Amino acid sequence: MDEIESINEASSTPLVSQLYPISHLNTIFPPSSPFRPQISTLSSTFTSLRIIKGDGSCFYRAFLYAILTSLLTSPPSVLHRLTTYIKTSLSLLGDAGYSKDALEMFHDEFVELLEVTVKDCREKGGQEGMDGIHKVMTEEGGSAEYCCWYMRPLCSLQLKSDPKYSSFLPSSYSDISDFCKREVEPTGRECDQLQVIALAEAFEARVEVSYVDGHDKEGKVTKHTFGEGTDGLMVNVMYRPGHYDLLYP
Amino acid sequence: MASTNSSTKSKSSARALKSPHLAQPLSPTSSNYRLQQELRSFLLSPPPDLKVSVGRNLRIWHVKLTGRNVYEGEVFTLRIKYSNTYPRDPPSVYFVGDNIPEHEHVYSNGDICLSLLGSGWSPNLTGQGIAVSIQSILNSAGRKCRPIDNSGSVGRKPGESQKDWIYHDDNC
Repeated sequence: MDEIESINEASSTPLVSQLYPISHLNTIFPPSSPFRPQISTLSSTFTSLRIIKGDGSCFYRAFLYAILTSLLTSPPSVLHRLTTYIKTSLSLLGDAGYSKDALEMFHDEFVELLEVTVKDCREKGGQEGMDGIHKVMTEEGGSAEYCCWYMRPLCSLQLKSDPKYSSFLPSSYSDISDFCKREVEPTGRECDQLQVIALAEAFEARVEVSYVDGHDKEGKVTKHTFGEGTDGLMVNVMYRPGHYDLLYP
Repeated sequence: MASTNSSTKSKSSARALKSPHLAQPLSPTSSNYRLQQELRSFLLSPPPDLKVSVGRNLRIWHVKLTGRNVYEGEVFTLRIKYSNTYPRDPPSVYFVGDNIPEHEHVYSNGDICLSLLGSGWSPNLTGQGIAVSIQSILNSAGRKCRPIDNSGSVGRKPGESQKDWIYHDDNC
């Protein structure tokens, strides 16, 4: 755990790193690390990765990054679908008791991100388009940060929208609202599986999580897939205790 | 009854809009936009028993809170200060004045032990939301008492960051 914390806690760490070859993980986990066998397995499935800053919002940020880059090459209908989802969400959140005064600005930035930045990056295409997304996603205090804040109430709203989520609720929470108040909405509270499922379903994305826990000497990596992603929105992440990073096949 | 309500409301609306901070049209590009929006809502439709006032500095609010139940007949003043990093960071919130409510989560220096002001903060909350939460912990109190560790707060400057506070339960 110390090695994970030391690379992620530094204030100079970018919110999202450059694209590293998958072998970069060998510099994070020394040969003696119990994580190494699973890292070797990952290296045969994935070619590269991006390290996400470990400030408690890493899944939200990784998810948004993957969605935005996915939108660069997906059919226009997907961008349209997501823009409609975000645009209609503000009044739904207001109806659910959230403060529109607080959320309006974050909502507006999200719409702007999709309608202006993503559109512009799609037109540029290729590496230039990717660089545009990278720039907006790595700006400290920028609009991507607002969007990550906004994704927390969106996640809550999804969890409260369907009683099926309550059946996964750990017994230490009195109900789903209690869970959202304590585990979803506060800044810096990391995503557990329930939040990952809710976000995948809310955004209609397919999220693949490769679990690297250091417990398998044979190097077997457990993989879970959440959400359908029928129109091609894909998010690939590696989970190590308390942290998510982005993976690329 | 309905007409009384609407006349009270329109009078308070007129007064609210005279606030110098709202005299200019709100511009979404202003760095104060979010706070202006929050202030406007609080002035135009204040929750029961809460009244906000703002002086020359938009970032410092005083909220008068009329007590109920065990605090019946008492009025308290909450000071809310928004830093330049708001809403990423929570506002600094504490009780000021001669009458600090005697409550198991309120220290005699005015500090309030509330997770929303520390690890439970979310940028999706508002100053009014915080005031309502504090009102709710006061009104639900069964008796008056100070926190067990109150002696540690004597002489301590109130309103400092609660980032490292450890809360005992959901609220405090």
